[in-house]
Amino acid sequence: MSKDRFLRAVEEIVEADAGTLQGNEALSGINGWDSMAVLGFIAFADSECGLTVAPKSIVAAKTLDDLYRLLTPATAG
Amino acid sequence: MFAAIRRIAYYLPAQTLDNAQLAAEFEDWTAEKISEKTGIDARHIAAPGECVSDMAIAAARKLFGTGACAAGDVDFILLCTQSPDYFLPTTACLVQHALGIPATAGALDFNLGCSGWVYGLGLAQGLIQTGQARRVLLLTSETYSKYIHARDKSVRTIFGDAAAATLVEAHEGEGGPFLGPFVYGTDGSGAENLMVPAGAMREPSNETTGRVEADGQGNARSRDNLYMNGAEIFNFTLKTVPASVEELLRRSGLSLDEVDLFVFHQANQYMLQHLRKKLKIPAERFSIRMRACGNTVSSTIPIALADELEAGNLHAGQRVMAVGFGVGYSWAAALLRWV
Repeated sequence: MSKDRFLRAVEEIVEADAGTLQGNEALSGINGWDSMAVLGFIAFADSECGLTVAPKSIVAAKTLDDLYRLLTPATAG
Repeated sequence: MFAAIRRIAYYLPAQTLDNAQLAAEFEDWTAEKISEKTGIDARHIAAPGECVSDMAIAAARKLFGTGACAAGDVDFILLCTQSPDYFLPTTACLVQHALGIPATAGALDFNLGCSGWVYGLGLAQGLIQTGQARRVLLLTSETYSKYIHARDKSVRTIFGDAAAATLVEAHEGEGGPFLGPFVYGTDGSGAENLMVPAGAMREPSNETTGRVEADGQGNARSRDNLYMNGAEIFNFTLKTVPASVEELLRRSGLSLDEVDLFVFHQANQYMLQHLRKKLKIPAERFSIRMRACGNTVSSTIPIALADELEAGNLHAGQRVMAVGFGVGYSWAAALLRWV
């Protein structure tokens, strides 16, 4: 999973313009990062990475980069 | 002789809650966004004083009105609810009396949520095929709205009230079995992710349980209210639903292509579409019927089936896979052959 693909997917989930997210953004500052977006991220991890991401790990994530790290098997909950 | 579904009817309360009303109350969501994300345009809400027995009775009367059977023909009532009129007596007993079902009928309540209709079919089949009953009235009825705090959009946007009546009866015709195989599952480790924490014996309601608190996501509720951890529930469905579908196909000796219609519990459209794609089920054989009533818990599957029948999408001889999953955790899948 490339970081670029991850960022484009998050942009789609939160309905942000393509190419606007870099990774260092705080999740709390992203418009559209809400409970439905969390479901979108879980669905993305499942369909694109075959991973089950624990919701507690998502809640603990502060930035997009933290979320991206959850998509590597070693750190996914 | 095999058990078969003879008829389904359902009842929706008159009052509705639409997305424009919700958008006016929750400023960060528009009506369009709620519709797009949940697949729901309106939910029906039981009136004050309108209870599970009232709605179950209304659904049963609609079923009797179709001519499928009369109240006097029913010899067993199975009523699925988690929001009964009373702790006791049994709601099914109130329904028996109100409908004029003979006193020789058996009646019981069972407490399940979104898996309840499929479990009820399994129970009805057991009663019929062991000769204990010939006509089972399976009722599913919920008033979750009475558990929901007005400021909790996580559940208020999703759940609606409804009741469904399903007549399961002994069928002498050829071509059976008409119900089954069944796949069941239970995992109580997920109990806390969809629950009403207070109000029963473990934690009786008091001033403390009634204290409303914000949850950090813009929602508010007390321990007397319904709580749902949507993300945990989603993970649970990803783990159990595909596995249940595959196990049911294995037990049936069928491939996915040999099932004419898939009717899953109508949890929310987003979750359903993800499961559909994950399982590679074509959209035209996958029922999504929640736009006008939302997630009605144990009634979503019979409501969807009734709507598919009404739309002419379900015919005698066709195979349907029904999958219920949710609170408990509890889940069940069954293959049905329509008669």
